[in-house]
Amino acid sequence: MHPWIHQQQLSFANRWRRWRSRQVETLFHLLAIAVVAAILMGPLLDLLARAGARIGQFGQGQPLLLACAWLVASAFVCWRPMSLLHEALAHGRWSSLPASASEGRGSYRLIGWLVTLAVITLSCLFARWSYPDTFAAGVREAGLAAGIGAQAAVWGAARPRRARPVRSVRAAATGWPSRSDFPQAMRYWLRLRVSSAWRTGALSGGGLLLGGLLFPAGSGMAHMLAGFIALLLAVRLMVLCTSSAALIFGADSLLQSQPLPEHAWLRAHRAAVLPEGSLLSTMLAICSYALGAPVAISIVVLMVLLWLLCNEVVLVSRFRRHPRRRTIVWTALTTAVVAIGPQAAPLLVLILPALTILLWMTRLK
Amino acid sequence: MTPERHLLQISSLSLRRSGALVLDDLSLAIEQGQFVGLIGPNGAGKTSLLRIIAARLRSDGGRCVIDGHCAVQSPLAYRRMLGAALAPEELPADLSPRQLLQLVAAARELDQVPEESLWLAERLGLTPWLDRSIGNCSLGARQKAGLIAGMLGKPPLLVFDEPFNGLDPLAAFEFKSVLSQWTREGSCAVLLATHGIEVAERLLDRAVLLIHGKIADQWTRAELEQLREQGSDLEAAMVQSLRKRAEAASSDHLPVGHESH
Repeated sequence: MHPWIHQQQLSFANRWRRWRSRQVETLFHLLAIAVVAAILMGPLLDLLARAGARIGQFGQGQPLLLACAWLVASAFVCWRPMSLLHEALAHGRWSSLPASASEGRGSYRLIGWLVTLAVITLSCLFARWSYPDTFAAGVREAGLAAGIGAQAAVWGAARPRRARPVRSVRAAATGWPSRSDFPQAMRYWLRLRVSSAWRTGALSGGGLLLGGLLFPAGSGMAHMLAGFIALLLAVRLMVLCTSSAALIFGADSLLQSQPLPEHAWLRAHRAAVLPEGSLLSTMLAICSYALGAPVAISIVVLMVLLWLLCNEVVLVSRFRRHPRRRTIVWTALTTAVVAIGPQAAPLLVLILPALTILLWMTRLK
Repeated sequence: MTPERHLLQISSLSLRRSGALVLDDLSLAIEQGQFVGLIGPNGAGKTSLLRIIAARLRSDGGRCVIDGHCAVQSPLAYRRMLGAALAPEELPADLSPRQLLQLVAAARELDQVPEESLWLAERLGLTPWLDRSIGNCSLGARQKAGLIAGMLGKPPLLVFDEPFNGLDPLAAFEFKSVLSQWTREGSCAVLLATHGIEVAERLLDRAVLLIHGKIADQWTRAELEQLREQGSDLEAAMVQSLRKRAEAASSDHLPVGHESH
């Protein structure tokens, strides 16, 4: 057996053990997800139905383009992880361990075939269960394309590789403050992180895929553009929040021995997240207006987004040494807001700032 | 008579991890300008002790005080007196060593990276790597960046865990020279944990042997010189001490009446 597979087995066993030790926490998260999903199920299904109808309209006009995009996306879904797996098997630290190249190739080919078979079988089964004919055909095509993607990755790995030019090894220095100022330095460090996350495209790729489903095709060029921009802004906001949290958690362990007062962390995180976050939130609210939402709804969107940002800043600073506690508080808050929101939307205007002030006060104690 | 004031005063420090005692009622004092080496076998508690002193780990009991500032009661003043080197694996891959130094300088409320740190980078041979991202630096360059970040601002107490790992002979020599110069001047005290006993032996004012979370033995500079005159060295003394302890432990576990047979 290839040592990579053995390592995955051990890693899975460790993860299972860790999960068992955190059963209560995991159950709490699952319960919260179930509650949120149950509340949002209706609007989500409605949104998907509308998106489906719009894609249908678009497909009637451009059937070939839509089919090609669908097939390429489905093939990419399998091709990308398979290529990464090949990197892990062939070029990881196994190259210096007693795992022969042929063993690596054999394991990879075997996994490739298994993935192809699994994808095609699952898509055939799913297509048989799914009711509308067009949807079933789409699922079958996607399965076939994903299988082809997996096989393409296997064939691609067998070909001799071209040497790639070495990328620049210089760190990005643009914008880094010449004089030392902690919040400013953290802000520029976050900018580096966000652009790197944006470049790697994991999130942006997913977001754009989602955009394919959601942007309002067939309702005018201006609408389509506004929808697409809203989507990009939302992805950027998500990247900003996740990168900033990761940055603060990492920086805290790096700078634990430094004489940094508590409020410096809050200031640094505020300086790193709030300016860009507020701008993105405002632009998102404007986009929602451009997409046809009433002014009141756009204002609520802006308020909720700003509240989320403030909470993110407070929670990350407060629990920077306990990231798990921060996730639990986030889950509880989100669940509460989603549960209260539909019943008492006007009250949210009061409840949200009160919650943030409460969190702020507990932060200062 | 006024009591002697130590720069670092550790009293009755204890730490438990997964039920095992890592540090057991440990007390240690270091004076200004002293160069102290922590030696001992793997798992003796050296890194845990250094992490507690560097305020990266909380002890279960006891106190750590630097120049009268307690780590728990006055954490900021305590940290201002302390410089702890960063391990290469802790450094952020997306920053350059220069940006890392700027970040640490900002955290220490300095306007910019002190000239001394850049001079140190030059002496250790880090200058060509200063503007590359740390992820693309060699192990030695990352080790140097972590060391210089810890020494930034020349705080009164410097703490290092295995600082010679990955350093080339020239950089190691320069690093040792700087440390001995700073301790001789009395501007700072150094506490370092190392397995390179022969390296540390020539520099140390005091060597402390840690076994099972307790101080098992200590040697002053005079005692180390005496050992050398007798044709022995710190390594031999440490091995002898370890053997003595192992024999004592095995005789403690012998069944009653075993010695009479």
